[in-house]
Amino acid sequence: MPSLYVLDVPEFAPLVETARRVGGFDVVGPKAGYFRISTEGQLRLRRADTGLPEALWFGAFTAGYDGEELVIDAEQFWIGPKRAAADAA
Amino acid sequence: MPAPKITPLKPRLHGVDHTAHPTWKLKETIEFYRDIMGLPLVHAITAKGWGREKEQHADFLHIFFDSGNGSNIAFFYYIGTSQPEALKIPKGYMAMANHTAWAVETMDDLIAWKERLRAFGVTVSDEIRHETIESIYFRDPNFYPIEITLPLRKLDRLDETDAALTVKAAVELEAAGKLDTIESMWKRKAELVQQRMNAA
Repeated sequence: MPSLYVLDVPEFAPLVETARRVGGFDVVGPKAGYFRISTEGQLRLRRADTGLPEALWFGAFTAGYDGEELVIDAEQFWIGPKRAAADAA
Repeated sequence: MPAPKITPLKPRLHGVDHTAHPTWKLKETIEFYRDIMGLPLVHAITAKGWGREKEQHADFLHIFFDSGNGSNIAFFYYIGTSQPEALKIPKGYMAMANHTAWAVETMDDLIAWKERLRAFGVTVSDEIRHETIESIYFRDPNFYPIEITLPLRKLDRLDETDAALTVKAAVELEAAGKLDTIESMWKRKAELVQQRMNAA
């Protein structure tokens, strides 16, 4: 299950708020200072939905992700499941 | 009660004493830092060149301005020399990575600095919002990149621990010759973050 981790700081809060608002995501946290946004299939977030300027958007993935990148650009963060072995539960 | 363990004092650093740069534009540099940036001129050293027999160290001036928080910013002016090609500052983002950023306390001050610099004919960017700061960017007469920045929040314990995870992931990958993309680093970082979440 692809997951995006988000540091629990004010500048990245819009990413978590958007995931909650848009729906279809499982949002866990804050735990140990991080949120984890995950979903079955593909995880896709659009920058326009977050209202983040480019400088913050491109830095917002700093806590990392579990999955395979499809498109990470100024418009969207789009990852799919890891191509190799099945995800751990 | 057992005797306390005596451990040697570690040497400590106490902040930046000064930063220093060469200049081949004496009047412009002094006018920029003293009159436009408003930094007090606090010290000047002048000396006959000595030592460095092979290079023939030039006679020089060493000019210090107060850069705040107990530090100075200093400029060396090497009399009778011209700027080597290797010390000319190129355009481009990599050269801009070498800069000093000056703090302001309010957004009004950040905007006021932008307007002041423009009034003096300095090319200044508009404000750019980053993770924890908002900044304007320009160059001094030597083409040294300068930033004036407004901190938006203080860094805290979480920033520190997150930085430690970033560094751990990045250094691990670099040592293995696998730090080829930011995505590879982000994937390793996520493993470390998940471990922390599991342990919480």
